[in-house]
Amino acid sequence: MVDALQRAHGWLRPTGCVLDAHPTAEPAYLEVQLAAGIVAVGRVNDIDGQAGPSSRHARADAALAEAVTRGWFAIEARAEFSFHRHADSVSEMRSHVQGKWKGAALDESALQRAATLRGSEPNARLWVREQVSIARLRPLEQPGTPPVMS
Amino acid sequence: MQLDPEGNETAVLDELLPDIRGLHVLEIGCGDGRLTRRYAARAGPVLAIDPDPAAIATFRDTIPSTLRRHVDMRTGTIATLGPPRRAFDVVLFAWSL
Repeated sequence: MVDALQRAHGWLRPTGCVLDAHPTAEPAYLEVQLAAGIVAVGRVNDIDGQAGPSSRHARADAALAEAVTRGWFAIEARAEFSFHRHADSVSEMRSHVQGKWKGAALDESALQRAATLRGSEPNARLWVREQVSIARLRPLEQPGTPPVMS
Repeated sequence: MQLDPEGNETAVLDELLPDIRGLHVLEIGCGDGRLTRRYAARAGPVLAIDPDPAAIATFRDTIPSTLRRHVDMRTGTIATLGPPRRAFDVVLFAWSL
């Protein structure tokens, strides 16, 4: 990851910038929107210590921090936003997480609770919400640090 | 599945990069082009790469004709792009760092 940032530095014009978006360390939540409000029924859990989302996102944070420490970039701006993945059914959500999320899974009990809530309110909406951090990085002068291949 | 129908991601991108007009963009980890579609019409030439050939094939098959002219999508990573040259105004890591 640090290597990717160093390569990005090499591809940028001096006036350019890097934009990096990746989820924060906060878990992703399975939520149901009812007329009375939003109910969090469970979260996406890591099932693989190394490949799970928490580990990946922590490594991305560490890579950004190292690129700044090494003097390749300065962070100019940061923001956070909520990213929602809406499903039309509980089974669609289950398939999506199983197919698209490496090293992570939703608890079956959370899916069952979501199904129950949706059964009680036909217009209830179902989503997984992730908090995502985005940063704009300005390249600094090439520091002359030897390449680091991770 | 609907991903970010609220448009939160695009809104924050616009906030951090208010004027993308004409800028040369390298997008790392473009997948099937979900995010690329949201900004490419306003950008200059875009090179979008992803290590997953199936995702790139989907991107190629589904890209709107209006974007074909200035979006070049390829299978690969930043490490396989060749020797770096200072060619881009923006390098975008789209959930790929």
